[in-house]
Amino acid sequence: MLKPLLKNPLFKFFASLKLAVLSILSLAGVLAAATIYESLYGARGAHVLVYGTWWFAGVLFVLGLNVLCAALSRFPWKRSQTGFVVTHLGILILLFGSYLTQRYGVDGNLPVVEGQQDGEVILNELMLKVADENGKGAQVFPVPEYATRRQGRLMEIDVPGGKRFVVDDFLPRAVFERRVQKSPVPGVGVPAIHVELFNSRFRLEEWLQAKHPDQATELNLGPAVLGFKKLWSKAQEDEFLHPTAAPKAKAGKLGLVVAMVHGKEFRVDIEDGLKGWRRIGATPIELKIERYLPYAIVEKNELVNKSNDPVNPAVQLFLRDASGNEEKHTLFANFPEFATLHKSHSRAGQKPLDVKLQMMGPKRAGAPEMPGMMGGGRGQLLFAQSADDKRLLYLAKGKSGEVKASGEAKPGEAIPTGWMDLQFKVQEWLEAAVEEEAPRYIEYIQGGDNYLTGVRVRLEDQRVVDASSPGLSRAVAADQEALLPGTWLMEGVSKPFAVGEKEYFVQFGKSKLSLPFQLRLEKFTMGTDPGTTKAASYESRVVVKDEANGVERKALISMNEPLHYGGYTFYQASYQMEEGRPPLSVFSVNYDPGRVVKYAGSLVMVLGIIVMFWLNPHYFGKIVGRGRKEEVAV
Amino acid sequence: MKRLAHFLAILCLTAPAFAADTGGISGDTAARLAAESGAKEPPAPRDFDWEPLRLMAIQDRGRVKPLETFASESLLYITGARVWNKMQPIEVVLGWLIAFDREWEDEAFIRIDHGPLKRALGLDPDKKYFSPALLQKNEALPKIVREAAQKEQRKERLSDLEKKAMQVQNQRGLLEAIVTGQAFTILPNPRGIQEPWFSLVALTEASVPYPQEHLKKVSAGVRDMLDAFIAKNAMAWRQAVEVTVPFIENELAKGAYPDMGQLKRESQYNNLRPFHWAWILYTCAFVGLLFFLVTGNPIARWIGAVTMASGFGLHIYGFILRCIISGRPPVTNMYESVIWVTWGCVLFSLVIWAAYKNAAIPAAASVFSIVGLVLADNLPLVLDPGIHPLEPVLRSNFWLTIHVLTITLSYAAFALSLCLGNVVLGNYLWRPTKTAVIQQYSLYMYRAMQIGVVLLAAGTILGGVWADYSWGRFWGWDPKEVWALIALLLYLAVLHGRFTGWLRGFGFAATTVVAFLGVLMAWYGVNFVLGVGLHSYGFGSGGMGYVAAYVAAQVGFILAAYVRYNKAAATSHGRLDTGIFPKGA
Repeated sequence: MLKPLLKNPLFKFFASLKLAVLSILSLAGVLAAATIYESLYGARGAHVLVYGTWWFAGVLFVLGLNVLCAALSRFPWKRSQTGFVVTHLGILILLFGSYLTQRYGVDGNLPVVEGQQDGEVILNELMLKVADENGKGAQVFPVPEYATRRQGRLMEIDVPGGKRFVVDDFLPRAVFERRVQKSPVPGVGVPAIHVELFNSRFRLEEWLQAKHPDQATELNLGPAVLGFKKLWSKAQEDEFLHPTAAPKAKAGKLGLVVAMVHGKEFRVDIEDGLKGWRRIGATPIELKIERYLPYAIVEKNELVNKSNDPVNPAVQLFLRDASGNEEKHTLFANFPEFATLHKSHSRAGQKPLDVKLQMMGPKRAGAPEMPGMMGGGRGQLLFAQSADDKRLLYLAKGKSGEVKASGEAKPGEAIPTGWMDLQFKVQEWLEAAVEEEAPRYIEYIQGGDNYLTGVRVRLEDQRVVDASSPGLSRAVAADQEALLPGTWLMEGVSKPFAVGEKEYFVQFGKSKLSLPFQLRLEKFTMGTDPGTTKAASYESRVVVKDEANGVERKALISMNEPLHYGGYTFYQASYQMEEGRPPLSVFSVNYDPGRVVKYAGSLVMVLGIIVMFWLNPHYFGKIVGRGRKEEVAV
Repeated sequence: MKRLAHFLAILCLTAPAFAADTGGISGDTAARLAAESGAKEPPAPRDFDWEPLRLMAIQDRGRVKPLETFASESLLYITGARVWNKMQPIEVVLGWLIAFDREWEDEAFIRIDHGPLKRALGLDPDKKYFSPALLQKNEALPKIVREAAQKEQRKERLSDLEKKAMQVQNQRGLLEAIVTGQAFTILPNPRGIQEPWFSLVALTEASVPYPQEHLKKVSAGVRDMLDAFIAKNAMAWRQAVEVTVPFIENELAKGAYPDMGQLKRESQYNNLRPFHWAWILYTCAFVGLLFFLVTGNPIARWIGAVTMASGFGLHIYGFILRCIISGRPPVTNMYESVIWVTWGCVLFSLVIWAAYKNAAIPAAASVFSIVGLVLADNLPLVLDPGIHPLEPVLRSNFWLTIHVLTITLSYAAFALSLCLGNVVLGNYLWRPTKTAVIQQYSLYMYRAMQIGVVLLAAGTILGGVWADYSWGRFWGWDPKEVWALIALLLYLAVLHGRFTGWLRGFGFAATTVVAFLGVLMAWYGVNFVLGVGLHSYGFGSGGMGYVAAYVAAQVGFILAAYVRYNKAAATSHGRLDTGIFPKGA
C-alpha cells in the first residue's frame, strides 16, 4: 500500500537524510538568532521576531514531515531498526504535543491582591478596547506587536461622528517617568526646585514640587527631610524664616478638595462636602461631594470602588452657581492633571463655571510625616517660594528641630546647612512647572522582563479639550492640543477622548480570559534568608471559589508547589509588596492539553536513543545504515 | 580618623562604668591615633595567633559561616588576592576594621582590572590596585555609578564599563561595611540561629537583646581586642581573645550558636583546597600517562594511574564536603558546575579507559579537567567560589537536581569527546597516514559523544519536566533550554551527517569538536554573554577573553590539521579513506 508513496519523488525529498541535516542545522541557526534577539529585546521580542511567527512554525513542520517521511521510507521496518523508529516516533509525538499546547493551551497571569478575589487571567496578546462613556458598544481590537519601536499609522479604528482613532507609535518596552519641566502654558503649574544635597561622603539630588497650596511637599532624602511650599504673603515669609511653634492645619481623614475660584484658593474638607451643598468661601459657587472612592477603578467603563484601601482616592462632585448652572467633576488625588484636561459634564450650551479643582488625598499609612512632626534622626531642609515668586527662601533645621541656617537660596550656589557637614545646592528653580508623565523607551533590556508596552493614540481632527475645562480658556486649550499630538496609553491604562458631544474610553492592555471560578488570596507570606532581605520562599494561602459547582476549597500555593483546579494549574510566579498597600501575589495560570502527549513523546524518544546506541549490538544485531557497511560502528 | 575614633568613643559611651575602671583606654587610643594621623604606616603583618578567631561564626549573606570564610571571600572580592602582603585574610580584614585610617586608607589594594574604566576614571591604566582614599576623591566614579543605578532601576542594559563601575562600587561598599563594623555580624541572636544576628555596631545600640552584664562584657572584650591590635601587642591580644571569643560562642546565645563541627568542616574545606590539589594531581597524571604513551614505560603508566585516581578521589571528596556544607548538590553557579563537569569528564574517561584499555583516554580528559580547575582556582571574580544560599525556585526540588546533574554530565561527556576529537585531529596533523590509530581514537570520541547525546536529550527533557512542575510550562523557549537544544541539534547534525556520507573520518572529528561550541554557549555563553532568561541565578560576567582565545586556538588547530590531512589524502590515493571506525568495532 505504501509502495507508490515511497517512490514518489516529493516523498523521497522529504524523507532524505540530507534534508534532515539541513533542517536540523537551519533550526539550530534560527534558534541561535532567537536567543540573541531575546538578550536584546526580551522574551516577548524573541516571540514576536521568531517563536511566534508562521515561518518558525513552518520550520518545525518541515522538520516533523522530514522525521515522519524518513521513518516511513524504511518501511517495512527491520528488527534492527527498532531504536531508529522508536526515536523518530518519539520526536513526532513530542512535536504533536507541542502543537496541541500551542493551539489549545492557555498561559497567562493572575494577579490577586491580598484579601480580594479575582478570576481574570491576563494573557499575552495586546488589545485596544473602545467603549463609549456608558460602557456601551465596547469593541476589542487586537494590536499588532513589534520587537522594536514602530512609528507610522499602525492601526485605525473608525468611530461614529466621522472621527478615527489612530495608533501612531508603539513602544514594546518602556518605563513611565515623571519629568518636571517648565510649564508651557502661563498660569498653569506649580513651583518646583531641583535640589542637590551633599557632603564629602555622598551626593543626592531630587526634584521638589510645591504641589499643595499651603502645605509643604515633603520628601526623605538621605539624612534629611526636604520640604517645599509656595508662600502667599509677606507675613508667611517672615513666619517661614523665623518659625514659631504654631499649630498646623491638618487635612481631614478623607482629604481635601482645593478649589481655585477667580484666582483665589479655597479648601473644602471632603467629609464636610459629603454632607451636602457647601458654599465655597464667599463666592457665589456652591459645591456638593456626591461620592468618595478610596480605590477608584474603571470597571465595565464605570468608575467603581474596588476596596476601602486609599490606593487611588477619587471624588465625584457637583458645582453650581447662583443662576443654577450645574457641573459634574471627577477628581483623582493621584492624578491632579485629570480635572484640568478633561471636560466636566455640564448641560449643553452652558457657559463653564470658572473653577479649578484639585483633590488632596488623605495621608497614606507609611508616608512621611510632616517635617514639624518628625522625630529625631533626620534634619530638615525647607524651601519656600516667596509671595512675589521672585525669591527662593530656605530654612535648615537640625535633628531636634533647632534652626541652623536660613536665608535666600540662589540657584547654583552651594550653601552649608550647618549640620553633618551637609551642603545643598539648588540646581534649578522653576516658578511654574508641570510634571509630565512620559514613556522612556528601553531599546535593549537588562535581565528582567517586566517592561510595559505603550501605544500612542491620536484622534484625528481631535479637539483635546472640547467643552473647555474650568480654568483654561479656549486659546489655552488650543495650545494644549498642539502640545499633545497624541496620548500615551500604557498597558492597563484607560483614557477618555471627547468626540463631539460624546466621550469614548480607550483602554490598552493585554487580553483577558475569565475563568469559570475565582481565586481569593487570604494571605501572602515571604520568607527571607537569615539576616538578609533576600527572598527565600514565597507562599500564598488561597481559597478557590467555584460557585457554579458549589466548591469552596482552601489551598496553599508556594514555589514549586502549584494548585491544580478545573484543568488549570496555578503557580506562584511573583509578588509585589509596597509599603502601605496590601501585598499582591501573581500566579502563573496554565492549561496544557498537550502535556501528557509531550511527556509520552519525550519518554519514547529517550528510550529510542538508548536502544539505538547501546542495546542494538546486543539484541538486534548491527544497524545497516545508508553509508558503506564498515562505516557503521554499532 | 573619624570612623575608628567614632566607633571606640561610642563603645566607651555604652559602658561608662568599665571605661572608668580601665582608665578610659578608648579615649586615649583615639587621642593617640589623632596625634599619629600625620605619619601613616604601611600595613605590616602582626605576629598574632589568629586561630581562635578563624572559627568564630558570622552570619553573612544569608548563611552562617566561619569568620575565616568571610575574611577570605571579602579579601578575594576587594583585592582579587588570597593573601595580601603575607597577611592572612583575617588579619587584613581586622586591619580594615581597626586600623583603616592609620594603615590602609592610602594603601593601594582595591583591584580594578577593566582598562576602559580606569581611563574613564582618570586612573593610571598600568596599575592594578588603587587606594580607597584615591577612589574616594574620584569625581567621575559617582557619576558613572549614579547613571548605572538609574539604568538598573529602569532595567535598562548596562555597558561593560558601567557593570565594572558598579563592581568597583560594590567592592567599596563591602570595604565600607567592614571599616564601619557593619559587616561584622558576629553577635548571635538568642532568639534562634535563623534570626538576624547583630553587627559590632549594634553593641552601641540598645536594641541588642542581651542582659546588661553580657553587653558590658562583650563590649569590653571587643574593645580590648581592638586596642591590642592597634598596639600590636600579641600578649594582650591573646588574653583578650581567650576571654571574649569563648564568651560570644558559649554565653551570648545559648543554644542558638552554630555547631562547632560544622564550622570546623568548612574550615577544613577552606584549608584543604581539594580542587587545587586535584588539578595538581591531574597534571602529574597527565605527564605520567604521556610519558607512558611515548616511551611505553610501565612505571610511568602506574604513576599516571595512581595520581589520576587520587586526583579523582580528592575531587569527589571536595565535592561531597561542599555538598555537606551547603546542604545541597553544588551545581547552581558557574564555579560549581566547572567543578562538577571536570569531575564528570574524568569519570567518563575512566569508564572508557576501562573498556578500551588505552591510556590516551584519561590523558586527554585530564587536559580538560586541569584547564577547568585552574580557571576555577584562579578567577575568583569570574567564577565565584563562595557558597551562597539558593534562589527560591531552586530549593527543595528533586527534579531540579536530577535535571541539572544530567545536563551538566552531558557537558562532561561532550568535553571528553572534544578532548578525544582533538587527539584525532592531532593525529591527522602529526601522522595522517596512521589510519588504524585514528580510527581507534575516533571510536572513543564517538562513545563519549553517545553518552553525551543520551544525557543531553534526557536532561533537556527533564528540564522540561522541572519547568512544567515549577513554572507551569514544559517548554518556554528560554535561552538556556534553547541553547541546550541547539547543542543537541548540532550533535544530531553530526550524527546524521555521518550517515549521509558527508562526514568522513576527518570531517567527523572536526565537526564533533566544533559542535562543542554549542555546549560552551549553553553552559557559559547564556549566563555570561547573553545574560537573559529564567536561569538568571547563574549569571555572571568576565572570562570572555579566555573563551575567545580558546575558540580561536581551536579553529586554528582544526585548520592546521585539515591542511595536513588534505595534503596526505591527495598523495595517498584513497588509502586514508577507509572508514571512520576500525573494522568490527
